[in-house]
Amino acid sequence: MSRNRSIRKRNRHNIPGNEGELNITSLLDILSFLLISLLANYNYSGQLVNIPGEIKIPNSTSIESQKSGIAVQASTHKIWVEDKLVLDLTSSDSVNKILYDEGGRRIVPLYAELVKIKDEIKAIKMQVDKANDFSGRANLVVDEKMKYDDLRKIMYTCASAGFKEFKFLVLSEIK
Amino acid sequence: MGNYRLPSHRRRLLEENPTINLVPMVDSIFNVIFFLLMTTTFISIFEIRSPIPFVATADLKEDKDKLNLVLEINSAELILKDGVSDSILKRFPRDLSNPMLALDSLHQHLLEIKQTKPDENTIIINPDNVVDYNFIIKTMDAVKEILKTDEPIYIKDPQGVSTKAAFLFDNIIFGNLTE
Repeated sequence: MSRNRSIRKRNRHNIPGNEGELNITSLLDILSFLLISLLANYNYSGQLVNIPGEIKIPNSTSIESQKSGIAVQASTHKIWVEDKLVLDLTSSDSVNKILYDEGGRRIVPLYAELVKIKDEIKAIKMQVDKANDFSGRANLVVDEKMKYDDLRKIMYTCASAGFKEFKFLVLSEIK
Repeated sequence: MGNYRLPSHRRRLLEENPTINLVPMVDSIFNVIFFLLMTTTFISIFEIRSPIPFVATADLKEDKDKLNLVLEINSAELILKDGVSDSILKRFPRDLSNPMLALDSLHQHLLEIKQTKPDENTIIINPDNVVDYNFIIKTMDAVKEILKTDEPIYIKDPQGVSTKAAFLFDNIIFGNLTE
């Protein structure tokens, strides 16, 4: 009560700049550090690749940044194209289907899906002039335990579907 | 005189402490961080490229000056061959307890070859059916990359200027794809 009665102190709370201020300097420091670390690790390619949980891609010393292409993901028993499952050797549905042709070198479901995607891209390009043309690049996301016998079938299938270049996606070993 | 002060003097004293308003800056940094967190990938994925053999080998064996290097990979060893004469240049036995030993020897031998033929950049690899993908990638690394610890190799660009070679043999072709 006595404080409020004081003539000198009565209007002190109205003095500008007397409000409690939050010190945000340390917050700004943390944000700047976070921003720099995110910018340093940012992938500028804009190409997002989904790696299924069953696939562990190998490490490599390569530093070539990935470019756009059709993603073919392959584990030891399953194959996906752009995240769509096209072959599952563990499924009972695959028992009665013809899975291989051309002397066991070409994987039929994979070939059909790749040709379908290629035709779709070419059809869009015909209709929209500014659309991206078919790159002919296959981004292979392959499990590190896969044997070359199986990898060769995938590569052969990609080549026969009209793909001209393989890109093996790898994890960086360089820290 | 010492007690004489203008009525506005105290207010002016309080206003004489200018501060930078950091709130808009914090706002913008928050926005950028949010965008980066939404779009970034936290694992670094790179690629190793390889052209398909039907296109890539069309003019390989016609040029006699070319090395035509062929690397065969099986579960026991790596065999470096001359692709034209099919003669063996060197064998690199694989030690299963330390698979990098054979790859290191191969890398050193390829460095020596590259020093004599700096413009050569093509190698054909023929892995055996049982070789796993991980070892193929490691072999491709040994064949392709020039490490920081390696002796630098200089190549001449189209203008005749010597530049440091970035890669050893970066045009890696799978030769037995159609077999």
